[in-house]
Amino acid sequence: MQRGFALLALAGGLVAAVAAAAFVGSLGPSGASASSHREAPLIADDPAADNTDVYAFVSPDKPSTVTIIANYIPLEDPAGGPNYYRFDPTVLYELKVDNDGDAREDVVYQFRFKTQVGNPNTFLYNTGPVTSATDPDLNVKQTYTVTRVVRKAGEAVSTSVLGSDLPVPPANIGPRSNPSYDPLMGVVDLGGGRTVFAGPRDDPFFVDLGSIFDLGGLRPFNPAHLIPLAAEAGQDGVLHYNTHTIAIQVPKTDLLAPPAADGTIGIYASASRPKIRILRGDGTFDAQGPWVQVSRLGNPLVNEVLIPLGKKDLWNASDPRHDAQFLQHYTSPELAGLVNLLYPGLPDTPTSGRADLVAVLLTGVPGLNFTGEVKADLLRLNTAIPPAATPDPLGALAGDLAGFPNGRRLGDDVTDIELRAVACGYGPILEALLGLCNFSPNNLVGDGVDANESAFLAQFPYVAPPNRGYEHTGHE
Amino acid sequence: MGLGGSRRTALLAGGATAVALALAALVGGVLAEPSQPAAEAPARAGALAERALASAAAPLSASALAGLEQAVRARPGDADALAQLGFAYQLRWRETADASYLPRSGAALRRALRARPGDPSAVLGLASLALIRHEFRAALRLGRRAQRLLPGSARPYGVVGDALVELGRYQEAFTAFERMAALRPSLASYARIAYARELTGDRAGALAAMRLALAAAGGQPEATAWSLVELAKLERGLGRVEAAGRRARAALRLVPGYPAARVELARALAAQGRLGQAIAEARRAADAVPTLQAVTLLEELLGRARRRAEARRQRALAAVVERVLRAGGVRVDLESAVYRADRRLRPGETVVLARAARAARPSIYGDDALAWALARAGRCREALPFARRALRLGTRDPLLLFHRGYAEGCAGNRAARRAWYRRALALDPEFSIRWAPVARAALRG
Repeated sequence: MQRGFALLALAGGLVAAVAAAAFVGSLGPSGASASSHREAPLIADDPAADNTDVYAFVSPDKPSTVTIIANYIPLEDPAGGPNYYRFDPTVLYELKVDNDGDAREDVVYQFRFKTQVGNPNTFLYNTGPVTSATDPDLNVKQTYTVTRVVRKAGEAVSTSVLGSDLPVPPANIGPRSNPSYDPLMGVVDLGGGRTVFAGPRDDPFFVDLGSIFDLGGLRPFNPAHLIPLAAEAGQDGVLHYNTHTIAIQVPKTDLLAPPAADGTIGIYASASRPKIRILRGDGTFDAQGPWVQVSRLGNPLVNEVLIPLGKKDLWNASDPRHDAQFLQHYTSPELAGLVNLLYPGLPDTPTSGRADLVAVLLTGVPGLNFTGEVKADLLRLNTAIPPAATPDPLGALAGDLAGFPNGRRLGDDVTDIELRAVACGYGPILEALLGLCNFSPNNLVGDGVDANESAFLAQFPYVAPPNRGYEHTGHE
Repeated sequence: MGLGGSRRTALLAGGATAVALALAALVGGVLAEPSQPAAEAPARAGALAERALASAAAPLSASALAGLEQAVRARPGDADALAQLGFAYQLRWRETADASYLPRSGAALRRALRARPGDPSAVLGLASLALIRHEFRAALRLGRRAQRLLPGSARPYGVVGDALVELGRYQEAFTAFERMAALRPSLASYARIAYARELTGDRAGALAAMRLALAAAGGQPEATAWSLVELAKLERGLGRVEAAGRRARAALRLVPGYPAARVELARALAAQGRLGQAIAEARRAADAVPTLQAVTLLEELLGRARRRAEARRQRALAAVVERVLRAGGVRVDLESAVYRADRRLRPGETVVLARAARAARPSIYGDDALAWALARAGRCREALPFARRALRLGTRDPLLLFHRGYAEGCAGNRAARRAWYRRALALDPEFSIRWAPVARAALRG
């Protein structure tokens, strides 16, 4: 409306200006200089380097192996053509594992991607039905290289390329482009008991975004909110969105410090972009590093919930071994105070001195997955705990010690678990077992979204295949 | 890559902070009570800002803007929504070049600041608005304030560096850009490294940095379109006029009608010698959204085609556009001075205008505008020192070289004039629709 107004003003002005021709010259029209002030964007999301979730668990169908999954690119619309979503070839994607409790990574899996466009003169993503990751009708293809790096005290002691030119499976567009979509398309056996996958998937995360955005609401607990509403069932805000998954399954011994057969490992994933300077010392091309980490993730939701805006860039660029500098945000979480304000009927949660959160998020829980005194935000997995026959989405809170915060499985309801942890409602089992605080009814809170909409696969890569654009009727 | 959104990133923080706001309104003084330590306030405000910034980065349709306006009407004291709205108006300005969005952005951001004094998002928004309006000293002040509020954040370095560049404080500016890129490599920091490289004469390096910026834009429409247009300008400057045209068209596919892309496409077509097509494209640009760039480009192209009556009409329209910009609070003295000097409109007054512009904006482009105004007014000896200063960074901008040559020639140094003209044409034989032919003619004569 306002733009229309401006154009009207311009049109009216033009008539007036032309009528008063003698006046025109003195008005001094201006030509904005093209090369001076640029108005470069100040802020822009970086979805391709946005690490949304990390999962790590002892593989239920191959208990001698561990599976690590990291997802990038949030909230992909399955109908997001014609370009669809891709990994970024200028980004370094990494899965990092510490196996000796010093929070420095000892084993790293690095992923680098390449994009090939078959025919640059068409905007089409595919020129016919696509039935495999290497189908000639696929016009935009991505491939990748996986490299395993072993480090000691931060220095690489061995680097081995596990696979190169591996195919990224295509987007799932519709019945014409993808008459069938093999859920295992893109899974590659690397030998040595290692299997890898990188490509689009259904986002396994589930959470009631809509309600949480509405003044921190939890639909099932609407009556207890400061602004009460009638109770409702939760609604999954990530329903039918896709993401880009990087997954690797390796023998436990690949990750542990020899000669251990089991132990607790600390895991995080990251995305890094090349660091460049104004003066190029040697004139080399810029895309080869050194690297600056632009996102990292160990435990779910920490960056979103605990780290304040002014420190987010610093937090993302820092390595977990330096996390002591952020300690206050774990011991005195802002969220705890907000829970107290929002749900006045619940017993008040301590807003400082939260040693429980330090244990769950920064050191591991003694008796479960403790790795020592070094405070680092890592997802800790005790590989000695066998996979549960019937996993409970509430993980350790329900006595299922094979689930979060001991690693994280796809079905673990980390939103509810973390809400209860912050609200000091760890439940009777962890109270008895580990002496963690257990206020009631704080130990029942949750967003009412308890499972992902799509069933997970029983085998690697476990994550459900991507939602198809054709069925997708549009979000929002 | 399609539209990425980082809603997840803002997830619980967004909810929690929106809650904080609503509570502030609802329960009055609760947040100020001793049970809420004062030190928590900035953290909460910071989380709020995060949400506002995440939303501001997302592509905005007019309907989304309407939604934000409605939210503000429903909750007039909601600093979060107000700050988002302030950024949203700026994004609409970027997408449409409609200056009427700017006063509304300022009003929303100031209201946000009144609702929550010291809100980092609102301060950053005002700093960004000051940049858009070419109020660089104010932008620097606000940017420094945002730095104090967001000590570990890359964003304020962008505003601070941009302002320092326009104030001619290049060493400080480049330090800010490098710090920004070290904290967070991103479209925003790569683009600034690219500009700094361009200023220091490293055009190939600028192109490499802009390619990284384009990748980091992640397919988000406006950010990607902006990067494509910047790449097109760099490619055109390096003589790759076909590639420049392709980039501009790609930008137009992403953001249909994107004003800067239409202008760049017209320039690329002109550089390819396709004057008729260039005029048609510039006319489409000027008809759709009469930006200053579009209108003056069309005027120059029509002038080149010797269609003088039509060119005069565009000149009249440009005068109106300038008034609308000034009404939106955008300072355009420097651009005005160059425009007037180009056309030798009242040379004496133009020198006064250029001097004022340079005082407000003492960058190499401020020096250049004053040198050019003086030379065109025949005050050649006075012009030369400023023409030299304009080249102090080693910038390989052919227009700066041409102006230097013109000032030399005007001062009687004919050999120097030829040498500078030759260098300008060697950098880009089509560097200016108006002046490249003049330089060529001078070398022939």
